[in-house]
Amino acid sequence: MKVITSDTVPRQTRISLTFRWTRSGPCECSYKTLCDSVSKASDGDLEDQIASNLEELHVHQVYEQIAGHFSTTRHKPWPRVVEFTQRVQPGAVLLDLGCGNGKNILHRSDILQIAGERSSGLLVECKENIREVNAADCVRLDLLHSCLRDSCADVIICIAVIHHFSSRARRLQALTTIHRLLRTNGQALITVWAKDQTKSNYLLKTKSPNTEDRQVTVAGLNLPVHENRTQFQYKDLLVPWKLRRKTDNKLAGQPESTLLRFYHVFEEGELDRLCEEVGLEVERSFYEEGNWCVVCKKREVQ
Amino acid sequence: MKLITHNMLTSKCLKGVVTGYPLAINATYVKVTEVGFDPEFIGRVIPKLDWEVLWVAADSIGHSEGLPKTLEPKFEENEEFLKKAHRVLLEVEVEEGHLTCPESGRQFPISKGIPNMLLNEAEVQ
Ligand SMILES: C[S@@+](CC[C@H](N)C(=O)[O-])C[C@H]1O[C@@H](n2cnc3c(N)ncnc32)[C@H](O)[C@@H]1O
Repeated sequence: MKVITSDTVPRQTRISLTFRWTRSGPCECSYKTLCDSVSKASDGDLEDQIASNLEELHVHQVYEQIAGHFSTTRHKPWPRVVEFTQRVQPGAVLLDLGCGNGKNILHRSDILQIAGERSSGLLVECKENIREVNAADCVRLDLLHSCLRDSCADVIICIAVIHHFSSRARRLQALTTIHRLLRTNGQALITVWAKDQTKSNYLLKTKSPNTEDRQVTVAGLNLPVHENRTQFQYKDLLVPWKLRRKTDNKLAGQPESTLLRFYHVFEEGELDRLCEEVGLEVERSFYEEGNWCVVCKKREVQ
Repeated sequence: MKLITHNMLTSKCLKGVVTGYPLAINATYVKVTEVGFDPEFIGRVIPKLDWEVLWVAADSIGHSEGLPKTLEPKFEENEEFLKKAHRVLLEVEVEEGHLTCPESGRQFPISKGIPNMLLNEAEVQ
């Protein structure tokens, strides 16, 4: 064979043939965040209708089904949340958006606490849990649309909710609602699940992620199914919940089915940037027990 | 739903609705439960509310008796008044019924004391 190194040859007609393999069925590539069969919209964000369907199936319907069981696993508020809400000034109006069973509602009678939540099953639990609190009430609402008056809140907490929105546009919309409901200079504490779980108790030392990816196709999307208690491999994924039925206030010993909850897990700084984008000034941000947390303030309009 | 909550609810997210406030109350079951009285809290929270809306709401479900239509100066020092305000704000609860948007007529059901403010995607602005 003759190897040409520095010779230049005049260009002639060339024929080049490219062979591509067209695949069918669910995409099995390992580039979930880049792959266009995962994110259909041109800018990489999910189309709103798809995102909405995905959340209906893998967030809202799941919470309705697991409400009883979920509530038994959520008793104590997080210390960092208590630390924040305890400092709220007497006479303040506090909104807990996506309140779940209301475990973050403080037993304080000197502030008004309104617990907003989308799942009716969890609201029933919440209503029961806050019965003893003088000035607390529940509303069924969606964080994407604001059904409360603008600027009505001195303080908002939104704990472990924003990670359930499946497109960036919807995460921004949820934060816009928070911005809108806060009065000027009002403060919010927002937390989301972090992609990096290495500094939390979530990881089981003995467990490593499955090498064989499990995937599920929902609403025309392929989403990876997470192996519980291992480091996250993807940013958008389904997290299994092993449902144990609750009857007569007792939890069944064995799970009867597994339901999949959608999560978008956050990188460092991602929540901060989204907050800033909607006009929420980040005052403090920290990592705590596998969550990214932001304390932010509604800026004064110049 | 307590009336203090009603004071903050709006249907302005509905397509074509401008203020959506206040929502009319239609109650089929109203419950009154005794709740611990914190005069300081009541005095502090009242300035954050729309008092006239509260009065009309209380009146519409038959609980406005003895309640002034407008706020008097130094109301926060008037214990008698604060007790009455406490009662309509926190003790009177609409258990069953619905709220109605003043502009579109859209109804929001209240069941087991919880108002349902969810909207379909097609209904929102
Ligand atoms: C992980 S739980 C957290 C509950 C509670 N904040 C806590 O700290 O225990 C997430 C909650 O967000 C609620 N949620 C999800 N999407 C929502 C939406 N669009 N509007 C309101 N709540 C929503 C769920 O129903 C669920 O109760």
